[in-house]
Amino acid sequence: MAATMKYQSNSGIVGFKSYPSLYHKLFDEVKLVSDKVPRELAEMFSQRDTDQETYREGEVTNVLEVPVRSEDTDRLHFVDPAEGYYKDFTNIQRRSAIMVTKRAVKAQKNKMITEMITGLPESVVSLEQLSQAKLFDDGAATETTGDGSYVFATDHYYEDPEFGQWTNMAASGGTFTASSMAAGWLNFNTRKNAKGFPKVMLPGEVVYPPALHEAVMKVYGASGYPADSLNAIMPAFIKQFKPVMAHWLSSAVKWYLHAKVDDAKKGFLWVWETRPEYESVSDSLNPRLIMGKSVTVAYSYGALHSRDWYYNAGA
Amino acid sequence: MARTAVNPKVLTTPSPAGLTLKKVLAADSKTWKAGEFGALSSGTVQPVASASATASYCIFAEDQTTSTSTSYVWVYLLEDGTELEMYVYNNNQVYAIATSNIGTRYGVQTVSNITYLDLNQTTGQFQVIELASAYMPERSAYDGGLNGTTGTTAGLCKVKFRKNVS
Repeated sequence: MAATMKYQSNSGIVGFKSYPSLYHKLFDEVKLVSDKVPRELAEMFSQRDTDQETYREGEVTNVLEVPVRSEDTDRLHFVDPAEGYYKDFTNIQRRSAIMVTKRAVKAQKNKMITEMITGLPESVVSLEQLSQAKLFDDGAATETTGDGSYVFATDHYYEDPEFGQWTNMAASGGTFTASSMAAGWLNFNTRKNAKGFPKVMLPGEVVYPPALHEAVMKVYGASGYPADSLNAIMPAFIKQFKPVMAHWLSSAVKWYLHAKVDDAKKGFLWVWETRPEYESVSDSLNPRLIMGKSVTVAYSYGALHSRDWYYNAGA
Repeated sequence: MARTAVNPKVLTTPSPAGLTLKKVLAADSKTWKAGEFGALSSGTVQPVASASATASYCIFAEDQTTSTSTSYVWVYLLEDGTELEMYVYNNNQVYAIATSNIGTRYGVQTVSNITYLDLNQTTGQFQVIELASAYMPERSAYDGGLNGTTGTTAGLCKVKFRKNVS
């Protein structure tokens, strides 16, 4: 299909002739194509506020080595917990603005131009969603946690490296099935703490793109166990998750399992330096620029850790 | 679960207050990681050698990326009688520890910023006094054994720091 509106004159300022078609005045009605941005991933992040350009958060564990065999006359063994990892978050400020000229409003004689301004806060929400989705999309390639490994990786170190490494990533990707979900459950149930002792987590949400909705719903609503030739009853633990479809994920195959954790234990952080601030824009030397709004936002995002996540690269 | 060797841990000290934390002058152009052992040379501190070393002086308290001859760095001074938990090395490989090692004083060796007890150096300051598998038997079972397997996993033991080189 031909892009009939391929040639637009986007000058930045909404002025006379900015929208050539609208000025033919042959319209009986002009409809605003308004949009509502789906906001889905924010619940996976724990929010922080800072006044500084950079924000650093670190961890220390409370896990100690077990008491040792020792008689009254032996000297006491002193033990101390492992210092964990830390991550720096460097805030980036972003701005944009919209401006409308007086002639444009007069000529058009409708309120659509002013309503276009509602797009400004929506654009900020889109930015948030893009940023949040990036942590998922690039979690196995560029985004790293405090321990230096990728967010989703097979080589995370425990806080005390003496106890080796742990993984939050399926060794080989596969689509969402009862079996791959059970593998995620098993991963959460074989995690260890800083001293190598069991640290159990339970699945909370499955975050997946729309393309996997059918596959996820198959498992979520199944009463039988399709992987079993005897058609056994589906074990309840496999279905105990909350499905969260995420439309901003760029991959159609990757899916993510989030543990049931409270806000304080979330590893994904969202750091606000400036929450969205809207300010009127005007030019005192040019009264024909009649209304404008600018938005300023400064934030950073990242993963201090990813212990509350399990990732499958999909098939 | 096989353990990965890490720097020594201080278990007990002669003084109830623990080891003395002090700033000392660093040797020029040296780097180290927290927990590594340092030795004194001409009044300045530097990491113990990668080959067998007989004399240690302190434990570095912080990572150091580049030291200069004017850097004062934080260290814990090793005191006579301090007991430490250490992993074992010998002949260029991680090494098993055995009951037969108890009572002998060994040196130390640092490999990739990890300071090990070096069984190859039998005239050092660190006397093996107990095997970790003996004072933590359940933990040893859980971890699949703490005596180590030569060439694969390092043994773990308790040693006592003796200031006088024998």
